[in-house]
Amino acid sequence: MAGLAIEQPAPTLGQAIRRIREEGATYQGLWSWLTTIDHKRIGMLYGATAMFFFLVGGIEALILRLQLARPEQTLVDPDQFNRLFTMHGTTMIFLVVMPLSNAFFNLLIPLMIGARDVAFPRLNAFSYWTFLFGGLFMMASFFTGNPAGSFIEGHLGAPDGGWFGYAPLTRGEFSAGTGIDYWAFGLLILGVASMAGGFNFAVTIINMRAPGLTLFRMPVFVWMTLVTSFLIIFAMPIITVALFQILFDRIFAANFFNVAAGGTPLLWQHMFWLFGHPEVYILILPAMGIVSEILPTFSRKPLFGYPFVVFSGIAIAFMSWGVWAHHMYTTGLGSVANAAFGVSTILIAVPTGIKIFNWLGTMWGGSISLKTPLLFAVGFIAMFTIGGLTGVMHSVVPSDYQQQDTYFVVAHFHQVLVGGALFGLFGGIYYWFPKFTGKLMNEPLGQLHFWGMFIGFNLTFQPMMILGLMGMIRRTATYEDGLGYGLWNMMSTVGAFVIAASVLVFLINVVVSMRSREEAGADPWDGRTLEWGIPSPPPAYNFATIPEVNALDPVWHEKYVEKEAGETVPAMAGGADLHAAEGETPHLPSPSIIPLIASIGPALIAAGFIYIDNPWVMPLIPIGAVITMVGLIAWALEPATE
Amino acid sequence: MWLFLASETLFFGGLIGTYLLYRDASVAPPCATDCTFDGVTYQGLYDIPFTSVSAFVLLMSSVTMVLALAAIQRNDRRGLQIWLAATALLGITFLAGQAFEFTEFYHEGLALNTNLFGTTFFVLTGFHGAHVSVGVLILLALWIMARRGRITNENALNVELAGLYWHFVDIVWIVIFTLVYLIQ
Amino acid sequence: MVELLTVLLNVKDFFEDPSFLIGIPFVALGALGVLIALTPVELRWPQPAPAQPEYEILDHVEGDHPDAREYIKIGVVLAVITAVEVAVYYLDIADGALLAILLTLSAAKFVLVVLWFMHLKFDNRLLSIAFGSGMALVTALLIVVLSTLGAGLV
Repeated sequence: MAGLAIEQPAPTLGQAIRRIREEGATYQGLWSWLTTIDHKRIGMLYGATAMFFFLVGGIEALILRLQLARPEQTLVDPDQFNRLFTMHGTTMIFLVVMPLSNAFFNLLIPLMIGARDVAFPRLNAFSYWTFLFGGLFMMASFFTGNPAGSFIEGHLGAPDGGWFGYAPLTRGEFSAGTGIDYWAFGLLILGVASMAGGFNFAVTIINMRAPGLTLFRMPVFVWMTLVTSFLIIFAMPIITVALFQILFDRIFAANFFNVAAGGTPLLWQHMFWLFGHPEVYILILPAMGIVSEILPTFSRKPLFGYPFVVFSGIAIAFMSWGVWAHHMYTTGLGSVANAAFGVSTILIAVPTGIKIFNWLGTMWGGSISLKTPLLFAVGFIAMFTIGGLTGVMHSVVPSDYQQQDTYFVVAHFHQVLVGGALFGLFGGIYYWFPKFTGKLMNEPLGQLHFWGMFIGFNLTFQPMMILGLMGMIRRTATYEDGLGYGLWNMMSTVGAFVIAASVLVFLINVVVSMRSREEAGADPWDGRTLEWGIPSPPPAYNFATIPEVNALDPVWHEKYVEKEAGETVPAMAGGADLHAAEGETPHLPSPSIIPLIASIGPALIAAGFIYIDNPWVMPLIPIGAVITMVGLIAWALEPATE
Repeated sequence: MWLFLASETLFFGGLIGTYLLYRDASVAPPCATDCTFDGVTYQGLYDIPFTSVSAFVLLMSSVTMVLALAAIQRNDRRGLQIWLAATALLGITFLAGQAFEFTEFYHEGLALNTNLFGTTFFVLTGFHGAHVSVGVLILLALWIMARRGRITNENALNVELAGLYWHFVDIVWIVIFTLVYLIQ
Repeated sequence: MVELLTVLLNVKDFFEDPSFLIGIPFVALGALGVLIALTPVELRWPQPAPAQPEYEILDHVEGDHPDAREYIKIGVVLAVITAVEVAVYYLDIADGALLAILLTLSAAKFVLVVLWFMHLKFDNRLLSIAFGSGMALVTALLIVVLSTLGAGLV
């Protein structure tokens, strides 16, 4: 296997690393991927891994839909059903949408702000590896730990408490087996990964912008990343506390949610939703940022009302802290609390509405180019509006009393998460694929993917709105015949398979595009922001010379100037040289295996705690702790990179 | 580091909130202060004088920490070593006090699973103690680096960052001492 | 067929007993060791640290720093406040007054440590915003949740 490209063995590791830096020698092959601290590679790792988990979550959904297609089916039994919908939700939220957003953060933020990498490159790598091991840890739960039998007999060990894990149902006496333990520890590990990313991007955006790039010249996507990072930093610790509490209850017989000892289930609910509501904004804001980037490029017009879009994003994040109890209207908080949260929830629709109007204003009067990224962006606007409006329906307390725990809620959040976040993220993939691979994605296949997904999505979830209003209860494995639910459920299942087919088209598109021989060039869409000013794929050091930024949409202003009549014409050559200079290799931080080593530890510690009564597995706790500590010490002592 | 400390305020806020929520909600003894069940009064477990001394110790460790930073900013490497060691020693003293307090409570019949007080108290102060322990390890690591001459006024930032973490752990204790021990 | 069933049953037992998990770190480290071994880099302990060079203690530090004397003064103030808090605890005063006094005193200690020891008073405003928003958020959330759940500070 290829290793270092050097003429003679280096005397010490420190000198070897210095050689890599100075002579530009690089690792190749697998080792280069394991030791990478390059944000572009880490972004691709995140994206590919998220796509893998997307397929897993999708298959879980298909099984659920097959079970629900007809009344009183027994394809899966209620126990398996519970585990499948728990894992579907947990996977899609924590292992797909969040990492896919993180992939975009990684790929784009340094490029959009004119930096060579993020503020803490090794922390970035650590964040990815921790995510990978956390995800695998969660997946492992399927195979073991169901007290009724082994997984080969069909007794899945996955958690069955729903993605929201309400206590005291998740306590040991009601949830035997190891499923919930895997869930809680898995989320703790994934939380570490998310927080590491949050710190990294917040610091990067605050500190590492190119000269002249003031906060209000940043692309909206960068703003949304900054806001999302702060949400992550403040929301994750809350669920960390809650998860530790349920784990203490399960493993050490603590009393946090023990009603007999005086505990209250509401403690869990408050903590979970204090995290959970900002979490859904963490899921949607990056996609909103992506849409804000796609629309101006494909309308050939600047974003309408840039300050409003930015301030709306900040307002949404700020207000997201004041609405959490709208998930708890039916828990008996009292009419004062319910009314207060009802009002705050209605209000939070306002900044979102502002964004929608600004997006529409961006397209109005523009020269529209109906390529796949734009299709997904427009799809986002339409679908998210519907989803948001159903959210406002939920915010009205008496209305929610009918809708709570019905399929109307399921329809609402899939409308905003699939029709919103997923559409935005797919649009981003089509938009930036040429930048990072140098090849455009196949346009006809892209359109097929979009329309298939759009039709399939609506066919799947609009019937759920009807089902919800008819009163069909969610989270149940089957339903009675003769209630009139059968037709809608069947439509929904067919729609799910249409979505699956469109995803298949997407995967084929990825393969076909990677193999295409046509080079996309640096700027295939005639873009506006800094990443379109450098070659595709970008060189390892991103920018040969750090650009100096004088305006919003800097690359657009390099290419075009406005004539007096307001028409844009291409600028004369001689603008700032944004392309790589010859012979110059800017200094970069060196690759390192330490983040990977450090990230192995937490999963081992978690496994040790789950099986703490097993004398063979319990030693994993000290072993994992030692590995983590060695990793961290080596991290601190590694030859300093500048 | 400040962003990390901001997230830690949320973390400890959650634990302190849980303690405050369940304060006086235990259905069985022992409790923090005198409580009555079925007509029998049980003595409270808190030993305020003892805890005050350990709070004082931790507070003084913040003073020694900032003196360590002041020393290395003047490039006084010997001073750095002395004050880092002093901070670590005071931290270890605090931890010893905590360990003593925990075993005392345990002998009085309070365990993690006894009642709500046991659960919330041990988890809150336990996590704080864990944070202090990590801080002590960081300080020892810095002390070793200082002994080897690897810390100068140029890279004093490392000491400053460790100091920020240490002071934060101290102010969390200020909050816990007041809300948990003194106010009842 | 029988052999296949036997193999399957053994696999099932293998998964049922989580003891195999103990092998994971060894496999992982072994794999890493193999990868490291296959790269043509010789790994050795770094050279011992060079002899201590002579160094000078600076007279004056750039920037707005309190000096050691002021830090000690603040330390004394902190100790005194703590003593007052403990004394007040033993006095026989109304609960509300006790609460107010103790909260004020501990807030004073908090502010002293954060602003001076942690240097926030002299640092970029952005850091104060970062930390302050965390504090504001957690305080507000605690008040709302505790009052909703019917618990109080005392």
